Amino acid sequence: MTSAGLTVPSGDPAALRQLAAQLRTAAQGSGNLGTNTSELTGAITSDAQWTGSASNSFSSFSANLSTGTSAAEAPLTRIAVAVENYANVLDVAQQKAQTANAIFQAAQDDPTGSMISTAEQYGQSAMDALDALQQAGDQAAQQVGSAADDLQVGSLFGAHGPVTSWAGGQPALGTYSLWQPGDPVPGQTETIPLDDGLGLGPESIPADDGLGPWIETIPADDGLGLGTETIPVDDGLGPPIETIPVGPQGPLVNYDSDLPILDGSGKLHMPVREDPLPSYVPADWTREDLEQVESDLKDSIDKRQEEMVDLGEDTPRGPAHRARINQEIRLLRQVQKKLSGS
Amino acid sequence: MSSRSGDELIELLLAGEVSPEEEGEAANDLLREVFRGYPAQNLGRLIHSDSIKAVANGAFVVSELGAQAAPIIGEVDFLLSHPLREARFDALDAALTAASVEHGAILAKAVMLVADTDQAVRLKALNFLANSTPDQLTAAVPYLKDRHVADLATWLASAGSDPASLPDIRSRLRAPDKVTRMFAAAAAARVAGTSRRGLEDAAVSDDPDIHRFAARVIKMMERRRQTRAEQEQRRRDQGL
Repeated sequence: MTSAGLTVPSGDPAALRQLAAQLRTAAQGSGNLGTNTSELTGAITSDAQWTGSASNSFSSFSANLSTGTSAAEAPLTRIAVAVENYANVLDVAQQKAQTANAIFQAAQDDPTGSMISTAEQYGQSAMDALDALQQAGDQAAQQVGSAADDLQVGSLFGAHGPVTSWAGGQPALGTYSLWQPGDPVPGQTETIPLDDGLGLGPESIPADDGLGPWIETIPADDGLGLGTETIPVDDGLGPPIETIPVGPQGPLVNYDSDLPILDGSGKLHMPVREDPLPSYVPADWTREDLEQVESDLKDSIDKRQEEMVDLGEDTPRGPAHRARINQEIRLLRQVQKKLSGS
Repeated sequence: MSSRSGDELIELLLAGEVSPEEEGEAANDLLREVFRGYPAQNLGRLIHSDSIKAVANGAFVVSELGAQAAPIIGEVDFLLSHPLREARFDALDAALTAASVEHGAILAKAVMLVADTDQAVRLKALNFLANSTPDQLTAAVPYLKDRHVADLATWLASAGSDPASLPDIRSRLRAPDKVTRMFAAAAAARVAGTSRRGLEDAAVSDDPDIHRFAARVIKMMERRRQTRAEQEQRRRDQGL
């Protein structure tokens, strides 16, 4: 079989798409283009974990933009399209690799061998998708370069402006040059150490923030760490000494006939009763009840996490759903501890 | 867990001046209050608010009510056509669990979200199509103004839910028309308990919506199988 252990490519297609859409919006605007694009550049490369030559080209290119003009709209829109295309191909490649690995595992566990051909089909499809991803990355790099060329032809920064200089791979070309490392600044006594990518003309030099040169995007700390985040595992109960809370003997609610159920939404919901989810494992749940709830909780948590990926972590619905997921994770841990007999 | 009343929680969420953690807890506390008898109709204050966060939190509570959202099905109707994608997204869960055959117009609105401009909403609508009852789909048909979609909903409620239609389902998965493919993917999931062939076809589709949906359904089925195996192993280990 060919699909064993395929490496699922990293990256966050949903974040890429969302940020590309924002880039498209930024491209359509005539003001604050430099600010928007530099912020989005940072977000695309860091939040969505877009890496590789296309990402590097895009980051460098966007860092050289400072002033919004209509001339930038078309090439920036093409970059947005390139990002979106890459996101779609990445999405397909990730899903196919994951599916192929899952099917391969299932085929290995199947003693009849009836799934071997299916697993091979999935494996081939996944490898095709990974090849397509490689090509998409290359094409994105070319498209970014082409967009930069268009800016060179246009009048955004003049024939020898900073974008031109960058696209040509040289820091300064033409009749007037950009600041070079070590160049003195006329009329000032200080030395600008590096091209700041902001072009010519009056500018204010910000105080040194200790983070070095270049345009920096410092995302606001959401307290959840970097990159695509998964739901925190720690329930704060401490694994080694955790005690399963036991409900009161006199039932507040008759859980026997009132188990949480996995409904058509794919999520665990309670039938008519007093709480949306038990905060402890009721003492009168049978082993069969516990096993059913364990399975359903896994489905529900997974479904909710998928939805967080689809919509993005940082959305208006995020806090409420994240809190709910944590409640379900806590209940699942309690159920599993009870089932394990500890 | 806070001791705030439902009214206080709604005020808190409307003001929106809390941390994300506090906001998440407040929304879940409000859900608990509704379960305990706080009037669900009061969620309208959030849902019809100008605050995006308040609308999203209102939609969250409605979506978590399950069948208990039936008394405020009008709010579900409102959320299904809300400009905020998160509102439409969560309203689909509420429509699935709370809308009955008497709510054909609302069900039709949910069906039409399969052509939403937002991919996450389309995937959610695909889940709606895969899990709605034949009666729900049939009730939606008279309210579907798009004849093509109405025909597809009729098909999904009958032949599209029948494993004997697998060849037709697989053929439709390759249709040039996106909406036809989406309904076929829903059908593939509906008959997957009998045969996974349709889902397996869908999982290798080049349509991002189709393959993503199918891969997730397959993954869920595999996870359930694995969980059952783990449970059996645990019983053996414990001598049960």
